[in-house]
Amino acid sequence: MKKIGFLTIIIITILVVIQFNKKSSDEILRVGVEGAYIPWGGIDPSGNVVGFEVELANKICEKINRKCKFIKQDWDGIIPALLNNKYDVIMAGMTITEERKKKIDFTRGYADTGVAVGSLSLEKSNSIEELLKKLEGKKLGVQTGTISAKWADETLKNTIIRSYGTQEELNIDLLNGRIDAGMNDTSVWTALQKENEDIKIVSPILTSKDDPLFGEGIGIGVKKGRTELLSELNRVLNEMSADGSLSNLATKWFGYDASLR
Amino acid sequence: MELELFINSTIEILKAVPTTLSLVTLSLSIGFIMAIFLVAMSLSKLMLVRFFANSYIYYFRGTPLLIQIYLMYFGFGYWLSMHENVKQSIFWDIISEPYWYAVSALMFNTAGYTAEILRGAILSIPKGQFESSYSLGLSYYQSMIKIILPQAIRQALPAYSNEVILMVKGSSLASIITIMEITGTMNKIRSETYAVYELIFIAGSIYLLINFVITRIFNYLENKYKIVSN
Amino acid sequence: MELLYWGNNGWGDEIFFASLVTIALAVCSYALGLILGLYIAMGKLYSNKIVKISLDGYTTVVRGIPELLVIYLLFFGGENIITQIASVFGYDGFINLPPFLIGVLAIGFISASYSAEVFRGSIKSVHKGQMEAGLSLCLSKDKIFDKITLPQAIRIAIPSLGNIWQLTLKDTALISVTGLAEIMRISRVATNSEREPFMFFIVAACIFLFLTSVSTKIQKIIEKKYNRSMVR
Repeated sequence: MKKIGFLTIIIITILVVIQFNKKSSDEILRVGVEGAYIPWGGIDPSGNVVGFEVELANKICEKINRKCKFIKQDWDGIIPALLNNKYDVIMAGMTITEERKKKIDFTRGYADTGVAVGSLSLEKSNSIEELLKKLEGKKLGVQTGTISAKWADETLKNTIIRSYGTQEELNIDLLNGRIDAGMNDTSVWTALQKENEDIKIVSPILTSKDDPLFGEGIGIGVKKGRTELLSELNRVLNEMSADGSLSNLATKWFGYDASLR
Repeated sequence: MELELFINSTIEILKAVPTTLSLVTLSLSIGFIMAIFLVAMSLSKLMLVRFFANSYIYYFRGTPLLIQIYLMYFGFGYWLSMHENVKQSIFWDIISEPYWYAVSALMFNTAGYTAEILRGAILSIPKGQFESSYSLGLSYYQSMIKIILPQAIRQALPAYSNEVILMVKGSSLASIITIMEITGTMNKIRSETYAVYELIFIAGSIYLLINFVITRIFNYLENKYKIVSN
Repeated sequence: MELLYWGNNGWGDEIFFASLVTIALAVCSYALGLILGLYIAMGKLYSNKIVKISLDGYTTVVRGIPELLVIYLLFFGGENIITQIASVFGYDGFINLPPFLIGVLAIGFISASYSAEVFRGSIKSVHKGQMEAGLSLCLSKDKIFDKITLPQAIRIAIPSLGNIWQLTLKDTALISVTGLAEIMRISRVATNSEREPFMFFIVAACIFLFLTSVSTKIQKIIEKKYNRSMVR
């Protein structure tokens, strides 16, 4: 019995040592994606990741002579996993905010779609004050760990807030009416409109002008201290912004030029 | 994690304790009543009734609680809300509330486990008890309720205390269907502060404390109703 | 029903491979749990006070907090802990653990806390006379444990160990929260993307029912085999 025990411990040690020695290879750029956030990044039935950021990442990799490897990670663990070196960069529609900057570095923004409230039943409000009034006593769905969740938590005192793990589960409950409205990136609602035309954006589009909480657009998250990678990514993003390929890509996925200059 | 954040998180998580406790007590009490019916059914002479009870127990003990919760909320609840007349009904406020799905999932689950515990306990009561209560002129149901069941419940106490602890632990899964009980609140704070160890430490200590109290209560009950044999 | 077809249009193949992941996860965690559990039980029975108290603490804590917390702890903090331990030994760099290994460790640690209690009880229940008989045959203490106490203890433990296997199997569903593509995860992804409320969860439930029934059958066979020579 002891022998079996020792053998197992040895096997586990070997496994760990193999992981030890597997240095993150320079040729591969490991990209952390959420995969439940169309059009930024989603998964098709054959299990492949598709979306704006997937194509963007592939283009970036091409330019820096690396190969992209996409690693799926649930949203609420996406920053801890970067800190844990599970991947090299995050490209998951992540807004650049002061809060997050304390933990990780960001490249320049590559897109900005703003945050909005989507709903089947609510009427359109033209100002934040109106929106707050309309949401009173209603059920609002947010995704755990997003800027919308934080904003809703701090601002909406008379609204019932439900936190979902993924946007897709939020969508399901929004479409079947278990929540009155959902709050997340604007692009999420335009994507959902393809499935159900009755989904409307019922709030003004909220950006950093309305509340600094809403951040400075969407950027690539990089672990602190990896300055070389960061400047390389910034260089490529600037290039792509200048030659128009970033706008083209954004237009293809969002239906309009959502890229950030 | 700074001390202030630690204290604030502790307070916020403590505020979620009533939700956890209400989930657990509500589902345990209804589940216990259901379990008694299930046991009665599984001891029935009618094959169909017996078959129903046994498959119920088989299903709820054979699948993970997580699947049962998903099936309840994202399955059954989703299906319900696809019907327009359900949405128009006065029950919609209850039907759209995730809390009730969590309670029912936990309740159905504990009913299955408790039924199995009770059935085992009833079968372990010697047949002689039945015979002597018959000889006192009691009917089957009278002897079941007055003689057998009290003994069986006493017999089942240790196993049932385990089941109660399993339910406290199981209630953490309600966080997955958006309920802000202890684990849900912990997850919310974690997604904002990215602290892991401290938050798990806080939540874990609260769960341990709850389970410690439960163990103590059951120890007291076991001692109080100890079978005194000479 | 087309949704369950094999290939790119259906989820049949995904579900099949996810079931294999679940089985592999359960088997590995169970094995880890058994081995760790046995060592913990031995530590609890034969070690000094400090070891005993810390092992008691381990089993109490792990059995007293939700499985989800243990999984979160290892998933969000496990790699950090290991890296920090490694840095003590002079390794500077980050250690990656594959999600499968994290799952095995998490479920294995939980399973171990239950197995430990079972082993402790069964080792204790082996009659003292057996050990004395061994001593009288001039066997060493280790030998007595390996050849006399342990085989009997395992035989006594078999029914309870079977229950722990069922528990471990069902606990693997919780690993879905970390994103590992096991049955629960796949049925959740499929449900979300096909907007089909019942089918995938029912399929998942059936797979678990099948697995638990098969293991009950196997457990019965094993129990029968080991009880054959048991004359009491």
